[in-house]
Amino acid sequence: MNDLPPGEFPIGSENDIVSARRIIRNAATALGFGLTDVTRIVTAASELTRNIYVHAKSGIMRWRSVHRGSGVGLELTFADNGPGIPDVAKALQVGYTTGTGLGMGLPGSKRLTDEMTIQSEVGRGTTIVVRKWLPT
Amino acid sequence: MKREVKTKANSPAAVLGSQESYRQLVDSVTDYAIIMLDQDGHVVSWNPGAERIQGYTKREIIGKHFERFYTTEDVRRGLPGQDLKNAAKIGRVESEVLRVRKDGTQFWANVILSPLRDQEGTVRGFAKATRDLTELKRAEETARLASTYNRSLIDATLDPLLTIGPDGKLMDVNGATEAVTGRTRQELIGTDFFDYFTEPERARAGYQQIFRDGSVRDYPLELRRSDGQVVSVLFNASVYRDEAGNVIGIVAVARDITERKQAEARIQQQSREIMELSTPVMHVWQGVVVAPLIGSLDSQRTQQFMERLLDRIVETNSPVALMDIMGVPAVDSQTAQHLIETVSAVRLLGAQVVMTGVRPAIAQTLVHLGIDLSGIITRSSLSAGLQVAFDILEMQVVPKDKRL
Repeated sequence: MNDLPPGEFPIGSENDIVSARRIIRNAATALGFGLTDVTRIVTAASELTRNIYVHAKSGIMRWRSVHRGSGVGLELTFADNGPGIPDVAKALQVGYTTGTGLGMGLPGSKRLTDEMTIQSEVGRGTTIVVRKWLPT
Repeated sequence: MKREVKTKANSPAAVLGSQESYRQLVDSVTDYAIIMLDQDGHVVSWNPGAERIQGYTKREIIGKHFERFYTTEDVRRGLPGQDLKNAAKIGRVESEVLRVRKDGTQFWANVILSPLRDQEGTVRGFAKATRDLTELKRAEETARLASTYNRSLIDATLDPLLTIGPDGKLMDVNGATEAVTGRTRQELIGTDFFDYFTEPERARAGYQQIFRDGSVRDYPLELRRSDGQVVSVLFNASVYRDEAGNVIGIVAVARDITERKQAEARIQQQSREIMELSTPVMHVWQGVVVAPLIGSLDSQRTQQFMERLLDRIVETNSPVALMDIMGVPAVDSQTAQHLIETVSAVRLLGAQVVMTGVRPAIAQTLVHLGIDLSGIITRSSLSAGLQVAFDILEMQVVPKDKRL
């Protein structure tokens, strides 16, 4: 209970975003998240896999359960070797977009999850890790 | 005809070289039949080895012609006489032939026939040494069968099987490998394994991984056939070793997953088609169309949905469109953007959109995402949305008994 095998899923097409949503929905449900939190996590995963697809063409999504004292959470990692984010702080502002989107993906995902870390280097790629903790 | 050898009776050389000691030597040999023939081929001497191998006792055979050791077929072809003639001419004839024992059974023998000459050089007879090759032949046959067994196992393997040397060259391949690559064994063996893949570097990396870890499982590669077609394969491979434990090479089995990939692509295509089919736009009331959305909305599908919705609104002259998102599992910012764009397009036609089926979890997510839907009329259920539609149309549904 409250544990799940880690895994990874490559992102390379728009269909993979749909599959990623399904995978994360199952993982979050298996870990014991309620419907609202599952929807939040799935939406964040959808935003971040779409970022990979739109900006880097391809990348990978990984998931695993994490522990903090008696708490359990789900950690998702989104990594790509794409163009990178020149200004992470700016990218976290609502409405900032380099593409055609609403500019809400990154700030939205940050609000939908409990923790978010972004590592990015221009020309090298981006790795975003988000965590959502099960309510105790 | 015996030839007298003159020796000094008491010297060691005389003892060792004497006919008696020579006879003792020959008599002690049991693995070879060592016999002498006269110049016409009659047996004049016989040793225990000859008795053991060919079955005749000395008494039975002395004076008999040696052609009885030949098969009937060889006698018919005149081989006994020819062998004597050749031995006399060449000096020594060695052959591997089928011979006949006393009991009529045949056996493979190594036969050496040499002429014996007198001081003038005239052939006086022949020395004949015969070795029974039955055991040797049996061992060879066993080895041959084992090799055939291995070969047929390799060839009977339905998946492409191949061995690669430490230099990365193909050492052996089976029939399935020939079929999948479109090249023959001769063409393949000795060539670079990596060159047959669309990504040689990836193939090389896998090959190095096998040496590092001892094996790989389900290593995906794409093989380029001789006709240019690309075949998707999964490799299972491991190192194999000699008796001392040294790595000789790699044995790899490939599985052609082209069909599986095609099936996956077909399923994706079908699910895409089902998604498209499942965006109907229904005319439920005079002036009201309902569009229930099910599944995920990607840009391509949204485009199709938008076109269909706009067409139906014009076609039915409907001032109200109900867009139900009950069946949409997650609304991310892109899906929201698609919905907002659809609503704007409908407005341009002079119609109004009521978004229904907004579930509590979706509502919360939209708030977290910071998406502003304040310009859109939303209701949690389709029936509540229909009520809004009637209000817009200034209509009222009245129970029958309350009618004036």
